[in-house]
Amino acid sequence: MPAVNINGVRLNYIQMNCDQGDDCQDFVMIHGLATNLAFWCLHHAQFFAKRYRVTLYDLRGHGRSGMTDSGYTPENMAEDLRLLLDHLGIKKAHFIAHSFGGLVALKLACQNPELFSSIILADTHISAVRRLHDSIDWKFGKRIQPVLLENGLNINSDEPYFGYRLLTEMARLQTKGVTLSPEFEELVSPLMGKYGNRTASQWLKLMETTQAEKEMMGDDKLSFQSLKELKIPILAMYGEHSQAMSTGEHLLDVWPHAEFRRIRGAGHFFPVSRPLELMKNCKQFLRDTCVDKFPRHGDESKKRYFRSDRIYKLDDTWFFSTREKHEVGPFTDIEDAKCCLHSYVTEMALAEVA
Amino acid sequence: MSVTKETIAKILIEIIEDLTQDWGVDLDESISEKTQLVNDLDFASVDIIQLFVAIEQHYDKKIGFQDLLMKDGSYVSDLSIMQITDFVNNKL
Repeated sequence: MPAVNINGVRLNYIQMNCDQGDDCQDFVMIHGLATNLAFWCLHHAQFFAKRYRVTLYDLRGHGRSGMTDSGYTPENMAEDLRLLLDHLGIKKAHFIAHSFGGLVALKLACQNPELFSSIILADTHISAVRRLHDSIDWKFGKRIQPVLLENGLNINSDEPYFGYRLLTEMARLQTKGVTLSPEFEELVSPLMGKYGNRTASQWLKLMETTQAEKEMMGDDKLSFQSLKELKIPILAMYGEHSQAMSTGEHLLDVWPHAEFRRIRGAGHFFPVSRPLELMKNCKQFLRDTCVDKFPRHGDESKKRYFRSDRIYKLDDTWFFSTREKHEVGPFTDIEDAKCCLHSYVTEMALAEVA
Repeated sequence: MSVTKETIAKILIEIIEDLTQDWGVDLDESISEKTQLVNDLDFASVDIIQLFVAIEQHYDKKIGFQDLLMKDGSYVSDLSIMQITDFVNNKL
């Protein structure tokens, strides 16, 4: 795999040629914390390579990129990315970024918007919203708190950086070879990716021997005002049960031109747990972007809302959501879910007439 | 085993030895077709990608390893060098 030394660090990257030849736009994929470029590489990158030349890289301190003592602020990691794009001769691209990777992409977009054809954010949580944690009611966090304590994890789900701390605690359990109970695993899996021993060890080394923890949990300096200046096409997707959902709700007021999608029943790692839904949303968004449908909403004074699929798949079974926000299911087949939804809608319509 | 498979296995082992040379992994035996990437060599997901990229570069051919990594909609937990050899042999 190629690597380049820039901004005082060796960055590991790969590029996948576009299936449609050399004359394709670029698509850059940025992973989140405690993972690496493999996060996007298998499922998603193959999909996007049908239409784009895809570039993936390991963030500083992750995967096969170098681990430095410092330089882990979103701002400096955006500079890593800018220099990597410069090295690769990429003048403009579509970007997709998960979690912390989204902070890196947003910092770069604020500084160099000319590099962006569009940006797709997957569950990115900004510090301006994390600081409001006292006023945020994260229901899923309340649900998992007693289970965390029962399993000896003394972390508070109300903490602004709870997700980072959970990653570290889970990495510790992983390297100690602790087997999790199925109930515990089921509850935390929406908030966690799956990683092997080397990835877990690498994350612990990064947290324990470098400035990364302090720098990553510091102020990302992404103010609502600076984000408001972004006029590029934006798709923001959030997991319904994720702590980051509160950022999505605040961004509704910041980006009147953006598209917002809620992934029903999903947590922070929905790109892995629900890849087909993510790719379907991206495909629609990119198609609209390419035909200059953006900004899609003529009246920017109107409040934006999250959209989500009425029928969705969760753990191999199907559900539908009602207008009253009830979850109906499970159904073993999507056709059964559609049929039941149709009956439900008809029944409600008749009740309204009566 | 055909000569082709032997050649593929030999090349895979060379690539893997090159990838893992500075990891300090203690192996009871040298790397062979029975060696498993995760259990025996402590491969992380990115190392598996790196290996696949190196194999595709060596043969100058897109091999489509996602079919090897996915079984019944989930990622397999480990792969032996023999499994990869068989897969590459079928794709070349």
